[in-house]
Amino acid sequence: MRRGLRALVMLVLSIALLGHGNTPVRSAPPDSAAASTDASGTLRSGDIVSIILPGEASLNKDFQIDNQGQVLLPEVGGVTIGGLSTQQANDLVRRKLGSAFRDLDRLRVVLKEHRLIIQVGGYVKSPGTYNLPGDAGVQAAITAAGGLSQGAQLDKFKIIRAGKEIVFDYKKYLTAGDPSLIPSLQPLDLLFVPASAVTGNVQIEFDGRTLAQSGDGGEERNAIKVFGEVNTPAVYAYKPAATIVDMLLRAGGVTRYATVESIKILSNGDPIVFNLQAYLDSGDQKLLPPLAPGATIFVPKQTEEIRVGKHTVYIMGEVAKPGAYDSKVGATFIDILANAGGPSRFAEVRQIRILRGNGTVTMVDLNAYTEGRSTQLPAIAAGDAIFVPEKTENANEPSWLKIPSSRAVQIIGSVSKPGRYEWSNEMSFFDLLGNAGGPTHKADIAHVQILRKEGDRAKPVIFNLEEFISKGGMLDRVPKIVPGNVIMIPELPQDPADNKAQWTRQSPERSIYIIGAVAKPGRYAITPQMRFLDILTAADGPTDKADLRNVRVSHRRTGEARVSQVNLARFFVTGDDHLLPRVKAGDVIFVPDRNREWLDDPKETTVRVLGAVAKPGRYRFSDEMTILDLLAEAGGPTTAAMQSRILVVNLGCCTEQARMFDLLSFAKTADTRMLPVVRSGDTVYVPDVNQNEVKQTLDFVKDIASIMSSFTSIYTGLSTSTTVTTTTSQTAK
Amino acid sequence: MTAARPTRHCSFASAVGLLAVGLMLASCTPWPDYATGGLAERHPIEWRQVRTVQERYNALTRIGADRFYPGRMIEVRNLINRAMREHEGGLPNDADVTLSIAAELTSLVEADMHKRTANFTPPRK
Repeated sequence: MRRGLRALVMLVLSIALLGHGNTPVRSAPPDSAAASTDASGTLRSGDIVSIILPGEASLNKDFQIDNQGQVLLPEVGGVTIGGLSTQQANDLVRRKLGSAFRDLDRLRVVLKEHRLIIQVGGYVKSPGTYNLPGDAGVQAAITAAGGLSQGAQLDKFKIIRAGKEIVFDYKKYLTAGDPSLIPSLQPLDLLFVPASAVTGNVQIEFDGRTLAQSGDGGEERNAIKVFGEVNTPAVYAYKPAATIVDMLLRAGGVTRYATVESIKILSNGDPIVFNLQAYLDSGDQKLLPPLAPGATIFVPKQTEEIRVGKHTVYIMGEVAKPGAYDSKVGATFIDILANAGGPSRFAEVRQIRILRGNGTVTMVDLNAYTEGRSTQLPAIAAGDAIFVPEKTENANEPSWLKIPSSRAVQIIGSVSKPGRYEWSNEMSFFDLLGNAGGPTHKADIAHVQILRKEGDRAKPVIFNLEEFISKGGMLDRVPKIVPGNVIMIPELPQDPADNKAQWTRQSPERSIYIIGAVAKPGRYAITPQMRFLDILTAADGPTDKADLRNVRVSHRRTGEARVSQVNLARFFVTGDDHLLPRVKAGDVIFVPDRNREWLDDPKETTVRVLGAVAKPGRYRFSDEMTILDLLAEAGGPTTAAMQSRILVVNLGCCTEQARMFDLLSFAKTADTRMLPVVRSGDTVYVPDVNQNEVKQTLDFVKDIASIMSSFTSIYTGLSTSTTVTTTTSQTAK
Repeated sequence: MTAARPTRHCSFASAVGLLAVGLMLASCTPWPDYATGGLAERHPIEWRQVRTVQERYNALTRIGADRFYPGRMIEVRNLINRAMREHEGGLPNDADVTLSIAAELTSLVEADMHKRTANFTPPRK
């Protein structure tokens, strides 16, 4: 009967346990209740029990109670022992095994170890289910889950147990170290770590500094909003004892742009202006405004305020931190400049200006000071303004007007970047040319012109840069540039035949003229390195009608009229450069036409061939010719020519003479000694046969004889008639 | 009276004859001498000065001046030739002037050749 009663009790208990098998832990009381259960030896999910039955190998081992409170036994399957005491579990297991095993009197169920199966979720590094020692707490669970993730909200941890939430402040526990501030864990608890509200709705990787800059995640309604010119504008938790200074410190302090004299506070709906500067100067606690929960603090930007003061010094321009600075007595120029962060890399430190309160301006060359060339810096007084101008690198920048005329030079003409450049005495002419991008490929660097001021006049100086570059020379030959100079790099002309406008820009001082029978006559640029042939080639050479033996060069810049005659034909035959004259700018090269009028040739340069020749005229004669060449050029003697008496008139320097040349005898004898001397300026006359004296005399005699014969006939006739008449008259008498 | 007639006749014929001879003589002007020297460089010439210049010219030719200064050497040669022609052609004064010019030009070529040979370094073999 007793045995049956005990079996009935066990059955009721089993039914009760089975009815709550899925959530055996949830029904357990939290905290202290759970701890007492442990102490009484109640079996829980996760616990490890040992079943001892001597002689039965399959049972002599450890079994862990799963989440459903069951242990899985051989032959009989799952047996729910969770929530039972050890003794109750012992009885239940014996009964269950009794259907498969015999002689179970010695079977014992022993609790070997308490374990804790919990879930950890939320902002931990490895959320999941963990099997922990039975005495593990929240911190151990977090550690098992890999620790907290960045962005975890520490003061709002949750334990979800049997459908209920237990919220606790883990941060407080970390601060105080009091275990009573956090609940104990029970099997099947869910420890949830929430994310901070400041992490927003987008999952990103945070670091500690970023999170700290995002505020402390204070409760939104009561949190203090700090923004404006603070280093970490954010929402910070309200603390009753915190002052505005504390809140500003939590926000990382004010920036260098902050207007600390007029920090605006909205507390309880009332606007308050707080002067932090005055508070720091005086230390008066009364100046601190009260901060109500949910207050707003705005630190305005400095530029929005006009900062004035009787100790204020202003620094502007190219410094790291321009603005108004409170100066102390004894603060030097360097102190103030250093407080402003020093000049930026764009600063023109040679042109710093101090605008005095009385309107005067003091120039400061900080560069000279740093190089030891200037030993004093001006004193700075309250109200002074230091202006650090921007460095101007070239005149193409829109700020070119910043260069005062006393430091500017102009470079114009054929350079890559002509313009107005800042000049420093450390620079050289080549520095300036380099700044201007150098001369272009059309530049005439042999005639660089530098216009210098001399009083109220400008005087040009010509510099042959080409020669200096190619041959070198003393550096003092390079013209010294001073501010105010104008440097002109002229341009070489384009083809003068098709670009007259460009061509007229070329000055006569660097031009040479080539005219006459050349392909492109015109005015050409010439440099000292250029030679006669360069100019002739530039003009595309002589034409096919050019008289190459009589090219003339008029040298106009020698102080006297001088003309060179160039025998280009001989040059082309011999290749002797010495036959070519040196030409300079201003000279005129004339290439005559072969078919020009002979009158253009002076008598000293030609030989006149007259008389009975086919083409009488003036002919050029060279010393390589003889009279035979001359006669041949004149077409030879005509048939009426008196070839035996060709006359040659020599016009010498001191005497003149005439000589006779017998062409017929020469042709018969080939005696070259018979040839006459002929030179330019002489005259050759080939008489006509009618001019032969013998013939003329014979003709004359013939004529005389004929006349005399006529006279004789007449006279004879007259004499006869007279005789007859006389005879007749005498007869008549 | 009869004797006077032949006399008159003779005197007229004599006058005509004399006139004819006179006219013949008047028209018989002398021709100039025959020319010489037109190609005098082809013949030996007895003129010491020109030989001197010619030797200088030949010396220049031997050292290659006609390669370095061919144009000027042609000018020198032409001037020497002209001087010889003038000398042989009855123009001695002109010949002297021309020869002095030739000698001057020869001197210039000699000076240039001297500069050239002074700076000349024979190539290494």
